[in-house]
Amino acid sequence: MLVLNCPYCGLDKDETELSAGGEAHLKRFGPGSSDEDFEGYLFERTNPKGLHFERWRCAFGCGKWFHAARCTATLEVFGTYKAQTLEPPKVIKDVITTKRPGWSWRNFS
Amino acid sequence: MSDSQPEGYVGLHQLRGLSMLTLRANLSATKIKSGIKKATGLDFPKHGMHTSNGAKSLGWMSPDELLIIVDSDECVQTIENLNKALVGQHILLEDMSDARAMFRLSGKNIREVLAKLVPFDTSHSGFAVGSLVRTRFAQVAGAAFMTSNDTVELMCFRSVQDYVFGLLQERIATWFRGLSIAVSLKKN
Ligand SMILES: [Zn+2]
Repeated sequence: MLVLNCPYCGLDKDETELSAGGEAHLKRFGPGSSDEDFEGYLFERTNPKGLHFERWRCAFGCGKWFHAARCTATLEVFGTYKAQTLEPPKVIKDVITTKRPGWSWRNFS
Repeated sequence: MSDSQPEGYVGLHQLRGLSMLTLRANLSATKIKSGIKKATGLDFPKHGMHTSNGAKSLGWMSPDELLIIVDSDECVQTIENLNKALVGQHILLEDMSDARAMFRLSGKNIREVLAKLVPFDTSHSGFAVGSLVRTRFAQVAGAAFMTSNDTVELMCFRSVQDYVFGLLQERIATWFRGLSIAVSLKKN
């Protein structure tokens, strides 16, 4: 069972109270962008075995979207953080570096 | 609770005659907090908590949502007071009175009953008196107000009130001995 702490209401939320929102930190390519960028924005998702950054919604709780850094293989949660950011905050990166030295994900490391 | 307290393992009431207002605003803004305090006469609730003086209560629903529960007779006046106290502030106030239903569980074993309904820790450390947790009751969304050591109030959408009422009866009757049910017309 996956338990994530919602950074808005501050409560530990059971997986059954959350809805999954897929990969985090996507950059939107809308009207006027190239076909490749638009296709990438719509369809290209990483599906790593290991470290992953995801969007989750506190659906049965406060209703807010937040981000989670976790391992898809072990279900270890490295941390959760608010969605108003373009990249994982330093505290989250530091935790991951301690537990998965040399990690990288998309453009982050 | 005096003679209205039902006998049995746990008491189950449906609370009627309540009005509920939803206020969307930046709840960390000082002017918003003081305006709400002035309009309702209640202390502004801390993060994840509610405050109450019996019939009237304020509940922290999210960083930008406050639930205001008042006796139906006071609804119009409360809306007027809030609009007056928060004039010029960026807010949205809506009367949600008929959108939700409310139940009260009473007795010393309510934490055990609650644990059969919700996925969070219902012990004293996880759910202290004064807490308000938005969660799910089995399959539907709801909120639980820990109003005292032996009362908890459960809120759900009115469209699922029969489901929740049945669910509460079933959980109490299946897992615990004895159940008494009463329908109150007023919160107090
Ligand atoms: Zn939340």
